[in-house]
Parts: sequence; structure tokens; C-alpha cells
Amino acid sequence: MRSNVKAIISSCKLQMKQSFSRSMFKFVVILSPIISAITFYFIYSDKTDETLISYVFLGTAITSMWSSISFSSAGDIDRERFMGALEVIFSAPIQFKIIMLGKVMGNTILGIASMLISLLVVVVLFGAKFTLAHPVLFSISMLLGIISFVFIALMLSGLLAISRNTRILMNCIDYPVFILCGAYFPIDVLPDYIRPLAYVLSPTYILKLARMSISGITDYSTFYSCILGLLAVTLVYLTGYLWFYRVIDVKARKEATLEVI
Amino acid sequence: MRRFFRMSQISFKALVGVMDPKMYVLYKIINPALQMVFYTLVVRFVYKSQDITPWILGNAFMLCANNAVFAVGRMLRSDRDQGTLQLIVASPINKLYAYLARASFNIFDASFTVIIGLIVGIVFFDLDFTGTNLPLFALSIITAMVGGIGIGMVIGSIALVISEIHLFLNVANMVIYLLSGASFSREKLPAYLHLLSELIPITRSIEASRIIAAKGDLSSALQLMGTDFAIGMVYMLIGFALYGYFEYKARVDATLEAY
Repeated sequence: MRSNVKAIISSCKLQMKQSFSRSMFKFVVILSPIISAITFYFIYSDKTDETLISYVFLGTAITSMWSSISFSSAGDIDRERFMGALEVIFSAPIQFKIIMLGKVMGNTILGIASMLISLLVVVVLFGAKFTLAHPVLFSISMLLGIISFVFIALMLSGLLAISRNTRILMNCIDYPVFILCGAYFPIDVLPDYIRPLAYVLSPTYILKLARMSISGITDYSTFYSCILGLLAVTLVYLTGYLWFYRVIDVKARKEATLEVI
Repeated sequence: MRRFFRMSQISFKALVGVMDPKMYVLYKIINPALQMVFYTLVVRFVYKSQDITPWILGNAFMLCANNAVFAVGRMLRSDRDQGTLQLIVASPINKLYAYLARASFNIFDASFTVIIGLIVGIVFFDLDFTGTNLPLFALSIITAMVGGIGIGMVIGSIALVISEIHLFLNVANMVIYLLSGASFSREKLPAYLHLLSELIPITRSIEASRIIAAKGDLSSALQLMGTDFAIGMVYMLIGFALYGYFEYKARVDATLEAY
């Protein structure tokens, strides 16, 4: 247990240094939230402060988090493979999935920074008032959201590691997620037959919970059912993560194609 | 002319040849369609009962920005990464000819992407072209694409001397979108950003397409397209001049392969 924790911390620190040295990650964590927040501010410019916070800040924050955690983590196995380090990590005495957990946590810490940048742009640059009706519930929602993001990132990294077209797939999963989770608009604008798909994505619940915590909760049963929904999908991601990493482990030993680019 | 077309085609094949058909469809058809759906849903939510046709058109046209930035903008850089830049530099061919030939296929490719965006608009968002002057509308797509490719050539030349290439290309893509006024009126931009937006060639073609779709004054649409075309050509020349300068510097400093 202790060695696992040490491995997670070391992997997390190393990942932060490695990620931040990549220009694409700097873009995703720093510049993308700034330019996105500015663009969506102009789209929403004649709306109230509450709408700006709910859609511009939260939209930019969650999409930036998604990009920095899920997008980056999804490509980590591919990057390690390309650098020739994958087989070393894979055959280390610490389990591969534990090392990857540390890496995703590193991306998560940097992802939180992108969220704060989005908030700063909306509040400082455009002077929108950020008031929270339920600060404690907002914090709990965001904490659960971040944990959920970690597991969805781990699941995706495993899933996309099985594909050799990871990079292209990574570039194509952003818009479906942004549409389905209602990052910049409520999911009520989606057609009825598509809406159920939104509920397999944790950002949908995170956004709903955060928006309710900001504007005030009128119906606590809806709030708690969103919490339950978020926990349920996180459990599914956790199962997916463990299962996909098992598949990778078996495939790598059986087919000996771990380092094949 | 045949040689021009062949060069253009080979260059385009080299850019997309790494993808299998399934990935090509995903990257060039599905992803732009989803981008279009995303932005249209945003504007439909924000502008509610207003007519969102201008914003649908703006977003369809802006799908070409991906081509301009990531295909044309990365063209020269890919040459260097693959070791063919020195062969092009050493070749006796007219560089402007080669430069234009290699970028030009992207005008058709980008136009194809815009058409996908328009189809999404027609199928999912009731975009209506009844009574629209279609040849003139097609011309507005072509002028926008010429402008897009022009800006892509400038970006491509600058990308040769920048180490943080992904950061640069992605920022360029987002800034072009911001300044284009695809999803909001450019009047909302502060004065200095508005001035910058005037320098983006695609903006006038978008405005022209909106006038044509609204069956407005066609002569003003033609004027806007003419201005955009001219600006696009100026961008191409600036791109070529920058490329010439960087090539000269690379010859003098022996840094052609350095990055």
C-alpha cells in the first residue's frame, strides 16, 4: 500500500513536469480556457451575470478540465509508447494501472488550474459577479466531479490504448461530449432521443450540480439524484478502467505488441 | 496546368494519406459536422427566437479554418519533419508555383467541409436556400476558402521558425474563430479587436453569404467577396514572402533542418 502511494506521488510529480513541458498541454491548460472564455463571453455578452457564470465560466471550466484530464490522459500511453518507455513502465514492479493513476492525478491537478483560469477571465476580465448560493454543496459537487474525471480519464486511456488511431480518436471525442453534457447550453435543447446518452457522461451531472449550487436549489431531490447519478457513472468508469487495463495486460503478454506504434 | 494539379493532388494525398478511409470520414466529415451542431446549438440557445441563419452560415464557413490552420499551416513543417524540405528548396522549380499548387487542393477540400456544415444546417436546423442565388453563394464559399488558405500560408511560413508548433496552430485557430464573428456580431468586439477582425479575410465572405442567403443587395455581396479575395491574395503573397525570407535565412545560417 505504502509503495503504491509513493509510486502514485512520484508518477504524479513527474507527469506534471512532463505535461507542462509539452506545448499542446500548455495550450489546453492556459491559453484554451482564456480564448474560449473570451469567445463565449462575446456570444453570451448581453446575458445576466448568473448566465455568464453558469454557461461561460462553468462551460469553459468543465470543457478545459475535460481536455486537460481526459484528452491528455488518453494520449499518455500512446506518448510513452512513442518514447519507448511503455515497456519499462509496464514491467516495473509497481502495477501499470497504479502508475497511470498517478499520471492522471498529475493531469488533474493541472486541470484544476485551467478551471481557475476560466473563473479569473470571467470574473476579473469581464467583471461578472460570482456568487454561490450553496458554497459547501458546490465544493462537494466539484470534488466528486474531479474524482469522476480521474476515472473517466483512466478508462479512456485504457480504451484508446487498445486502438492504434488514438490521436485521431482523441481529437474527435471532444464535440460529442461538449454537446451531450450541455457545457454551454442546458441539455433540454437536445432532442429527446439523444438526451439519455447525456446521462452516461459525468460532466452532465457535474454541470447540473454546479449550476444548481450557484443559482440556488429549489428541488433537493433532483440535486441528490444527480449526486447518485454521478456516483453511479463513476463506479462504471472505475469498472471500465480495471477491465480495460486487464485487457491491455493480457493482450500485451499474449500478442507481444505493447511497443508497436 | 496538369502539372499544377498533379502537384496539388500529390501534396494533398501526402497530408491525408496517413489516415485510413474510416479515419478520414471521422476526421473530415463527422468531426466538422459535430462542430457545426455544437456551435449551432449554442447560438440557438443564446439567440432563442431570433433567426439564427447568419450564425449557421458563419459557423459552416468557419469549418474551413481547420483546413487553413492545420493542413496548409502544417504543410511546410511536415516537409521538414519528413526530410523533404531540403529537396523542395534545392529543386529548380518556381517556388511560388510549387507553393500555390500544394496549397490549392485545400480550397476544394475546405469547400467540401463547408458544404458538410451547410448540409448539417439544412437537415438539423432548417437552413433554407429556397430562392437563393446558388452560383453566387458558391462563389462566396470559394472566396472565403481562398482567404482561409491565404491566412494558412502565412501561418505555415511562421510555423517553420516556431518551436511550439501545436500551441501556435491551436491558438491561431481559436483566434481566427473569435475574430471571424461566426457566432456573434463583430460589433460586440472592442475597437482594437474589431480592427484586427477586419484583417481576417474570411469575415467578409461570411457577410456576403449572409446577404445572399437573405436575398439582399447582391452588388454589395460581390463587393465584399472582391475585397476578401484581394485580402486573401495579399495573405498568400505575404506567406510566400515570409517563406522566401526564412528560406534565405536558413541557407545563410545552415538551419534548414533545425527545429
